Amino acid sequence: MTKDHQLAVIQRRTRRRFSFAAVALCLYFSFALVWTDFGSAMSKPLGDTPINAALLMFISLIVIFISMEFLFLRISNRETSEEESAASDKEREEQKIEKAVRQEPQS
Amino acid sequence: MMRLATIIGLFLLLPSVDLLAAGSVDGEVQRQPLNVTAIIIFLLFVAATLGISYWSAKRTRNSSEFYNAGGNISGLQNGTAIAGDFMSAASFLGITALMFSAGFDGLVLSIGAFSAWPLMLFLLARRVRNLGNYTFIDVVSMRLEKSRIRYIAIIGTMVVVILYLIAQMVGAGKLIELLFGLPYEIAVITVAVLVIAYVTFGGMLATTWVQIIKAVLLMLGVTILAFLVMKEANFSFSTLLEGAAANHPKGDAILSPGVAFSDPIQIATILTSMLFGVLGLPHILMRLFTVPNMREAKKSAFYASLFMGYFYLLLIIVGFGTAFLLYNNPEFFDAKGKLLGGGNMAAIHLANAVGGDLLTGFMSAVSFATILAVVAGLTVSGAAAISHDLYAEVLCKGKPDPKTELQLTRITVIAICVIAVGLGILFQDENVAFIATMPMVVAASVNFPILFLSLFWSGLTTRGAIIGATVGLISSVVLIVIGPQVWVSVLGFEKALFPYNYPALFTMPLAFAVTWFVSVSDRSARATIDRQNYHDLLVQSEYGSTK
Repeated sequence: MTKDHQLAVIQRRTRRRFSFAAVALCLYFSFALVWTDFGSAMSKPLGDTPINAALLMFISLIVIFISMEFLFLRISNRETSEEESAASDKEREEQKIEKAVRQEPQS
Repeated sequence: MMRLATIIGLFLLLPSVDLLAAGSVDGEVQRQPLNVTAIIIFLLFVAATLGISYWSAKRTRNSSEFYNAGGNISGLQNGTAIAGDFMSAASFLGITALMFSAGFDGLVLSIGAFSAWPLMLFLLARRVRNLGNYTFIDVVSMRLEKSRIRYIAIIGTMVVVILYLIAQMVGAGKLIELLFGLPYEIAVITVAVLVIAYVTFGGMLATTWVQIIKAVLLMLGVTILAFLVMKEANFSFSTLLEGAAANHPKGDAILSPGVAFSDPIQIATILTSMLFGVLGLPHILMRLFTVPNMREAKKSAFYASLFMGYFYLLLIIVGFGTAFLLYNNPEFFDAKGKLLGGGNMAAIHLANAVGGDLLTGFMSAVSFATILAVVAGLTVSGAAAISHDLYAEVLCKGKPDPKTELQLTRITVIAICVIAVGLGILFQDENVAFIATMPMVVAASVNFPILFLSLFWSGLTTRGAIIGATVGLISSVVLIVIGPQVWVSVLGFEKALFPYNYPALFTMPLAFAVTWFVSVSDRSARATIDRQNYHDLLVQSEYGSTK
């Protein structure tokens, strides 16, 4: 892997990392809104149940965060696997060329 | 109001026991009758964990094995251990107690404690694991001037560890007095002796297994408790909430925000301290080095989230369950109408209400086990800061005598536990709410900024990191001292000079800003080297060691 390629991969990973973190932070701090006038509507019961949007938000945040982590891990693992397989393909290719070069003088 | 602030202060160090609560540290403790079931279950736990320590001791022959269990813990095991380190008696007893008194508002502490983990996975897990060996200080010292940055990071670590331990020990003594009916001093000494036995002989391997066992027991206990509460509510969540609102003196208000907290800025200060504090806790970051590679480190963070998410979701049922099943049952209240044993006993009384003596004993024993797991993790972290970061890396310039280093580590463990017992006894009658607050605020304002910037900003210089961390430390301490917890509750002034208990919302951005400003204006020769080092660090942080 060339230096430029390495840096491109790192930049891509960093962008992904910060995108996920930014979404998580926005969702996290939005929880404080339920203590404001703006969020007072979230305290009203939904339909005939005593459950309100604020409580649903708490539950959703936990579920969303875990889902985001799962997604992040999947993307990250897939990328690592692709890189590893590309690296091993390249290595095999180089070994083939090396072998061919070694055999050429003999023939 | 002040009392509520104190209570909340104690809750805030969720990952630990200190928060245990409200009543326990502010003088409301009523020693309970000797709980034989709890003691028998706890003795079984102690026997099992001491057996593990014996097994671990045979596998802990050098410093590497001591600090990070040889890096042989799997992602699943480490994730469970992290959850065990983090889901404390405070989480269980403290959040339940706050939900018992204030309903929905208790959930702000749950979300605060949980939400650091996605950030840990997204931002830190890979890079920290690829760069460090034993502590987060290894990471921050990598591209900066090693000795100076290690000194400041060691100070940051030890401040967090010692304050955390004091709060733990005071909370532990009070909690055990409350749950088991044992005298305070015996409780504190028992904790210290057991932790010395685990950590001195078994190091991180024994600590990890103690935390794994405790996590499994706690999740099992809370699952049983939630199941039995739902059974009482005919497995209807609506019935549970309606029953809680009907029985609670504050009625429907407990189902909505606003009973304990009304100021959104106050909520933001709590959320900031909790989230970024966890990302700077040395004993939590240290757990990332116990796995063989960064892939397992990322898995660890994910599994930790999974277990904690499950736990905090169940706490909704347990918390509202206390309001549903305790308020209408006079046997849990004294003549003045106060909950027997204080607010922290809500979860334990709930266990009694739905599961009888056996479940009460089990949950009490698990709460004690939790203290051991957290104190053990802190002790390993403090010992590593002294013997690895200070002795091996600074004093011996990275070439210590391995035997001496291991000996020093074990001596440090004993010294830390002795100091913790001494301070725990010294502070037993003090209001330790501010001590419980400081570690999270300091971790967020000192450790997290230098760790984050060293990983993600090429412009960071040694001078910037040192001055920024110092400003973060001083501002945290000053704002806590002039805040309500110390200025009013401890020093007795009428009005606090700073209105919030958890100043990380202000001190952390200040530390970042100062670090940035000093770094960009740093024209020293060392600054040039620091900036040049970033590229190599960046590649290593993503691809592992290039050596």
